[in-house]
Formats: sequence, C-alpha cells, structure tokens
Amino acid sequence: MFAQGVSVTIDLEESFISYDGKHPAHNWTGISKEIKGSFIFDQSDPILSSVDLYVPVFSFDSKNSNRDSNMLDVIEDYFYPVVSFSSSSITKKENQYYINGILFFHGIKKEIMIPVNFNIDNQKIIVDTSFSISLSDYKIKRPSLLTIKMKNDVTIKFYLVGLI
Amino acid sequence: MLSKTKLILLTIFLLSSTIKAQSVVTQEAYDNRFTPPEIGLPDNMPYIKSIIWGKEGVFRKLDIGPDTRIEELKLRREMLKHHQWIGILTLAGLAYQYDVGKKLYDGNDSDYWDKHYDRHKAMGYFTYATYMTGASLSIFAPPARKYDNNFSSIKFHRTMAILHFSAMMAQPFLAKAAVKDGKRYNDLMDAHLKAGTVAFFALSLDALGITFFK
Repeated sequence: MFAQGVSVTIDLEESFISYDGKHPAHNWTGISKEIKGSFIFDQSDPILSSVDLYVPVFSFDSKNSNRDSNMLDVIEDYFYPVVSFSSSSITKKENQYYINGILFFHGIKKEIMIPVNFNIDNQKIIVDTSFSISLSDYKIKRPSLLTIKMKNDVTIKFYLVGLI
Repeated sequence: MLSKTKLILLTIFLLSSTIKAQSVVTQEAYDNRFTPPEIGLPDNMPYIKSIIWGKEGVFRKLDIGPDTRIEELKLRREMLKHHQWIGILTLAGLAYQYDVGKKLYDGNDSDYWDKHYDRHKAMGYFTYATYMTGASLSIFAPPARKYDNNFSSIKFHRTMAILHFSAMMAQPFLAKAAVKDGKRYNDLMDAHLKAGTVAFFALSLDALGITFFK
C-alpha cells in the first residue's frame, strides 16, 4: 500500500516569499506573492512530498522602486528572470522537517537544506520557513550606498498556504 | 426567475474570485520560466524621463544612447554610481563654501576677506560644476526598471532635489548681480546667502534621507 500525494493549490492571497536586506544605514524587506509551480503533498507521510516552485524576481516589492530596480540590476533579471527551488528529498530529524533541494538563483544552482514546518488545518496546509543565503555564493555584486556595501547574508522567509 | 439569475451571477462571481487567488500556471509558462523576457520601458516614468527616454523621447529621435535596453540599464547603473560619488564631493565642497561665505557676509575683517574672497569664488565655480554634473548624471540616466508612487527615500530625494536644484541655479546669478548692481548689493547678497543656506541644508537633509530612510 503506497501513500498518495495530492497536488496543492497555492493560495496567492495569503502566501508570500520575502527577503530581508541589510545595510549599516537601514534594513528593508522585499516581498513577492507570485509563487508559482507545483507542490505535491503527502498527508500521511510528509517526507514523500515534493516541491518545484519559482518566483519571478521582478515581482519582489520593497516599497521603493529605486531599490527594487537596483536589485534587479545586480541579479540581472534580464538574464535570470526567476528564482526557483526544486526538492530532491525531505527528511525529518527530532520533529523538524528539512527539505533538501536545488536553489537556482542568478544562474547558479546550489544544493541547500531548508528547515520547514508543515501545519495542516482542515483542507489547508501551511508551510513556513526562514533561512539565510549568501549573495557571494550566487556571484551577486552587492549594491552599495555611499560607498558602503549591503550585507552579504540575506534572510529568506517563505510562507505558503495551500488548499489540499 | 430573477432570484435564480442573481444566484447564478453570484456563483460565477465567487468562483472567479477564488480562481484569481490561486496559483494557476500553464504548462507553457512553466516550461519557459527560465527564458528571459523582453525588457521594455517601465510604466509610470517620471515626466522628465519620458521626455528624454520615452518611446518618442528626444534621445530616441536623435538616436542617442545604447542599442539595447540591457545596455541602457548597465549605463544607468554606472551613471548613478558616479552620481553618488559626485554628490558626496559636492556636499563636502558646499559645507566649506557655506562656512566661508557666511563668514565673509557677517565679518568686518578685511584680512579674512582678502584671503578668502577669491577662494570662495573659485569654490563657487567648483561646487556649481560638480553639482550640475551630478544632477545631469541623474537626469540623463536611462530609465529604471520600476517606478511607483510610494513615499520612500527616493521620493524624498526627488522632492528635495527640486529645492536644492533651484537654490543652486539661483546662487551664481545672485552673486554676479550683486557685484554689478551697487545699489541693490545688500539685498542681492542677502538673497545669495539665503540661496546658499537652502542649497546646503536641503542637500544635507537629502543625503541623510537617502542614507537612513527606507
């Protein structure tokens, strides 16, 4: 008897992905609600689930169009229009799930492991995670303000609400 | 009958609202997700940018500028980097210029006048040149990817720029007019000092805003 995964429909009203940028002078958050792709969830055994999601980088909004434009310049969205994540496996250690997979960003693929929480409420599943990436790992030239560069580490927050 | 129609319309409305809020990705969009899109001109371009760089803009008609939008964006980035550097240089120059100018205006020390008047004048040319170069780099830079109407540091920067640009434009003319027109010398020098004060403090506030506001 094999468990059967179901395709989750992403609720774009409630779901979002954000990044927190930091500079010695100020911090900011850019948010996108344009999460696309597929999410197959296995309710009986979540480690058999899989995700293949992507977000157009143009859709990130930090409420400052000049900063968003600078961000698009440094990540060269005219060559690499999306950031995507495809899972290869899901593991569980001490009540914590981890999704292993490939993060594709700025034309570079890197294998990463993301800690995630799955919460099921009736016909809804909520997946949330927070993790850091280094811009230098993805060969991104950090933008600077008054000659001071922004911090290399960027925190990514992901909150996905799906209808099972 | 009418209530049935209303019910059908309500059902269609509710269904369409639900569909809008869900992620529906076509196979074609999914397959082409890594294909770079055509980068066009942004919506909501500021008026001055659209006059210069719009589809029917002056630079398009005169065939000035790079051949592709990607090259335009790279050029923009370089121009704005230099705009930042020149802005810092101009602010430092204006701080000195304002200090010397205020002492020349307030003081009765002829030694100080003799030693500093020519320096003040030369610095005036220098800061005017660096300011206008910096402003040109921003005004003539190709348009960005996005423009919005949110109140942000860049909106504050553009608002303050109207103030310090006007003051910087007026300053040398007021000084020259004061030297030429002996009868109105005091009034024109007053105005020159006021323009200098506005230029210096507006530019200082602008630099603080762009640095520390989000």
